[in-house]
Amino acid sequence: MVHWTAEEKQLITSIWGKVNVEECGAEALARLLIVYPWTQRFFDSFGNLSSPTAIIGNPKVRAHGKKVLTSFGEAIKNLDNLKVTYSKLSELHCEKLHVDPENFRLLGDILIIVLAAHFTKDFTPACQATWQKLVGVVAHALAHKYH
Amino acid sequence: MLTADDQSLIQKVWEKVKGHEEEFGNSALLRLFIVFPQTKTYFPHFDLKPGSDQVRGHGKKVMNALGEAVKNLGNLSQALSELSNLHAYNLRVDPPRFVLQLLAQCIQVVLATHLAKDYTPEIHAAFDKFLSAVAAVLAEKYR
Repeated sequence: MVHWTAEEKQLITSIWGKVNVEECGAEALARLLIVYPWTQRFFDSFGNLSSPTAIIGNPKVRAHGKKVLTSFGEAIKNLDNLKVTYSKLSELHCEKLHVDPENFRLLGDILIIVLAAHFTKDFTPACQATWQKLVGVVAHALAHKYH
Repeated sequence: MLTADDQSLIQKVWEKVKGHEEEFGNSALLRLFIVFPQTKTYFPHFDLKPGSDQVRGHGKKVMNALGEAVKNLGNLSQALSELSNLHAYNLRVDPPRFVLQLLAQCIQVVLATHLAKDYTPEIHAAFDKFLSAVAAVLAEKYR
């Protein structure tokens, strides 16, 4: 089980409290599809992903980004119980969606950069350290039920 | 592969870095050591506390090298040849792509904290490609 210090929990909740889940989720997913275009393979049904502008403006990308980050919010509420919280999602990503867990790491790193751009100097090294740990742990929980 | 558009975006970002190589390099290394403490193992000979002149000096060196790379985007292999030798035969940072990827993440975070929304998705993509290309060249001679 992952141990979180009081300071880490504080750094997570204080940032999360100021995140607009819809905007941030849309931004993170769009950047994933732009920066690592091979990830578009999972989103054939999303329509026009032909350019950064198309991706950023795509309503399905925005909606799915919001969904993903809302789920991330669930992880934050269940930091001491992540593997169980994400058990079904993990099975889904393995058995139905067939997503290589490496993609969770990519999205995690992208989320960090989105947060950095949003919070600028408030995204201190201590913040980044805690959030890199968080995205790593979330990625691990999502990969946990793979077989 | 860096397209002409990528190259133009990379050069555009670098205009914002010029003059701040030491500050950005220092910030990136400090983040690297705090966020990914395993990277400290490559600097047992350094004072790694915040404020360290050694870290500041090294950060400036790293960013200046990246600046050279930016001037030679069409020929990274040749431009970084000496550094590639250094990393392969002397420094032997291991595993090469992985650790340099951690530094790349920290450099991007520093840029994002300074450029905010000017670190657009297009620029992010181009710069990420650039740092990957640099890491690949530095890892070229490992074996």
